[in-house]
Amino acid sequence: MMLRPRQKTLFSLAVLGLTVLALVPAAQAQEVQAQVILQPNDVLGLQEAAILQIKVSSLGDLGRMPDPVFQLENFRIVGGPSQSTSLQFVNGRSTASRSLTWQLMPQKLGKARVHSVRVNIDGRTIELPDKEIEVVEEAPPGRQRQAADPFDRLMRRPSDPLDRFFESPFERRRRQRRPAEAPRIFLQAEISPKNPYVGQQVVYTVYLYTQVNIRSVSLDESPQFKGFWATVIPQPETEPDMVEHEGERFGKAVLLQRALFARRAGQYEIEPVNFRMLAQIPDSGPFGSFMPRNQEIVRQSNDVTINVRELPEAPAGFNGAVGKLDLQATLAPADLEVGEAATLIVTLNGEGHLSGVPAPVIPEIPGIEVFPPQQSGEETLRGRKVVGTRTWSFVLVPEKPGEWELPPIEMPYFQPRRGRFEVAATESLALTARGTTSVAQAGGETVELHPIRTAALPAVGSFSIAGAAPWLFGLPWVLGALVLVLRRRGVGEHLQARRHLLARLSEASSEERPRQAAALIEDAWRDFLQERWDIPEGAASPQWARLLVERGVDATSAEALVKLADDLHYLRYAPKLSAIDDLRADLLERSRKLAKAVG
Amino acid sequence: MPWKPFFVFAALLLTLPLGVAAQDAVDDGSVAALNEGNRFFREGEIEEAVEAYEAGYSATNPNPTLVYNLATALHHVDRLPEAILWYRRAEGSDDPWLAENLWLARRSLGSQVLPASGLVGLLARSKTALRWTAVVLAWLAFLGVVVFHQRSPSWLNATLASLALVLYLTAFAVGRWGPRPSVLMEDCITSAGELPAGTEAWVRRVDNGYRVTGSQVICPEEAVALVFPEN
Repeated sequence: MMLRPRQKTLFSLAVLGLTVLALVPAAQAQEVQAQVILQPNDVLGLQEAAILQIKVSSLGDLGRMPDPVFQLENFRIVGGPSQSTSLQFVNGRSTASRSLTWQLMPQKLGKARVHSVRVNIDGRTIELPDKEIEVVEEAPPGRQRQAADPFDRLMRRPSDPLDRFFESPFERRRRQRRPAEAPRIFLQAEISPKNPYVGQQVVYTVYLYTQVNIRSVSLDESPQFKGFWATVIPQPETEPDMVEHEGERFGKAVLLQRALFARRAGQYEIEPVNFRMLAQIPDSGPFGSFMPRNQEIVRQSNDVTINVRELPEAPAGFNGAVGKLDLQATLAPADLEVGEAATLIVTLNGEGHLSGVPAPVIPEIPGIEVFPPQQSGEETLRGRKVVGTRTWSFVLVPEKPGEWELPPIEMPYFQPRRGRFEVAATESLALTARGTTSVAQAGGETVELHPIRTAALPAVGSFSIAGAAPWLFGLPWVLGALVLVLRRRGVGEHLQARRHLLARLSEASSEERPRQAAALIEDAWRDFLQERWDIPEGAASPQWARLLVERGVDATSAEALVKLADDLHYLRYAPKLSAIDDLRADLLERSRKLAKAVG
Repeated sequence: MPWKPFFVFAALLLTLPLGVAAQDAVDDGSVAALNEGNRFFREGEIEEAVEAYEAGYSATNPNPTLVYNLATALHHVDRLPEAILWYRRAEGSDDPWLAENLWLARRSLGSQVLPASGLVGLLARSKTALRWTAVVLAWLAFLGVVVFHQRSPSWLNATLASLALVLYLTAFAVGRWGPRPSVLMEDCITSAGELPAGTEAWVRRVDNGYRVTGSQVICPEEAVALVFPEN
């Protein structure tokens, strides 16, 4: 294809324009610069802080730029990021820059590294080189003073040439006048004792050593004290002690103090602790005089290793109490009634962490019911010592009257200072329970113990007729037997004969005719004598006296009966009677009397 | 005049002196001891009062006031098992104070009253009732034989008399060889069980002590006090 000159010119311009258009982004891309700076860049003292700065600069606008990402090894961020941006016009071109700065503290001796640093700008990722540094015990002697304040270094000696270009003349002058020796400020963590027993108190202290005034101190983050029970030991505001350290004088003050009690044996590490301080750094003024300036600095303490020892073989009854302990007991009331409650208060106190100590075992006391205790406790500080008090309140209820001596309550504990087990024991206590003298019943009525009786009680129940039962039981048997015997011996028949006699005398009394009445009376007597005394019916009446006397009848009665028989004959055979009724009545009356005597 | 009513009446009259004798059974010695014990008690010398009451006690002819006072004095010095024992011995006096004091003593000790179990236990508890039933039946038989022998059939009289005899002999046998009420003076702790002092239980004599009825617990002789040892 052949082109005309005008066409050639247009073609050349088009190619040039396309080339320029193609090259502009590349040129712009080349203009974005990212930089990672770690200062110092060779060695770093363990007490020093390093400065990590990531700076991105670009011609034109930086657009959206998220925070860069990076990984740390043996470093810990203790400050930042602080950010600064700048926009400059040089020869009609604008240059934007953004700088992010972190303060890093090394964690241990050895290599410390910042790696995997990435900056993302408008969807493009820029990877930056790793930075590595050697952490040593002490900063190099030539940099020791500067290392005391990395912020100062950062502020006074900007690494960016552009920053240096715009550096204030006063700043430059002050940097130039900076004294060669800067004050030293560092932290020192200590423990005491270094090899405690399980449960023994350890005091962890972070000391500040400083050669300048510190206006304020703030704790960045407290250590975790894993494996320990920790409590704060507050620090009074006191003037720092002046001490000499490595040939230099320092003010020494306690920044943090904790009482620690290890829960288990083993090796524990307490991580470093960071403090942020506002220090008054002496500096020379523009006219040669020294004026202090306030400067925020961060310091980190060393880490601490504790080897916690196992307790020796514990005696029976040991329940974990460690310290220097005392056990006391009180009992109130010591004299009470059955069913009432006494309170036994057992108090354990002394140096040590006592909150986990279980209740002492109260020995079983027959006749006394012991209820589970209520417990309370508190811990205070006596100087740097944790002093605990643990109280158990047992309720004791006597189940019966009596006197008891509560045996001493014993609690073995470990005395770490002496490295041996000891026994805290209470005194024995006396308890007296009296019988109940009054009890309220369900209805509210109270029954009280009655006194003795002064008047004689009526004898009833078993005291009256209980003893009579055998007699009352035996009597009918005896009487019945007697009746039967009498019946067998005919006593009843004799009585029957007399009853027949009396009946026939009654019949005779109703007979009007006197001679017949006399005959009836005589016949009744003859039948009676035969039935009762077995006297023959034909026996003559004068013989009755002799026969009756022979059969045991008294002679008078027998003679009276013969006289009665004579009178009956007179009445029966008399020729003429004038007062016959009186005679008949007299004979009947005499017959009835004789019937008793002879019957 | 009929002789049988007079005979029965005379027989009943014979029983009256027994009751009168029981009423007047308190002898002068126990009264003196009672007065002395009361004086000690009023002066606050309770232990001495106890000794005085104990000296005046007669098992065969107990003074109910003395027995109650002895129990009460023991109660005041918290010798509760003994107090319960003597309250039980005084129960025949039917004193309301006694019942309340006994209740208090039992409450103080938290002691228990173990019943007599089984048929023998029932008979032992009913011993007095058996005895008095036997007395009544004996008198009925007597009346049937003596008074109503013409109208009361002889088999009825014989049955009444036999029943009375059986009941009385049963009561006698249970009282003699059956379980007897007791109070434990000491804790009776055995492998078969534990009974605290003050427990009221029915016991039966065995070779090595007393067996508590209804259980396998055998308490030593010195730990057991019979309520009525003379029966």
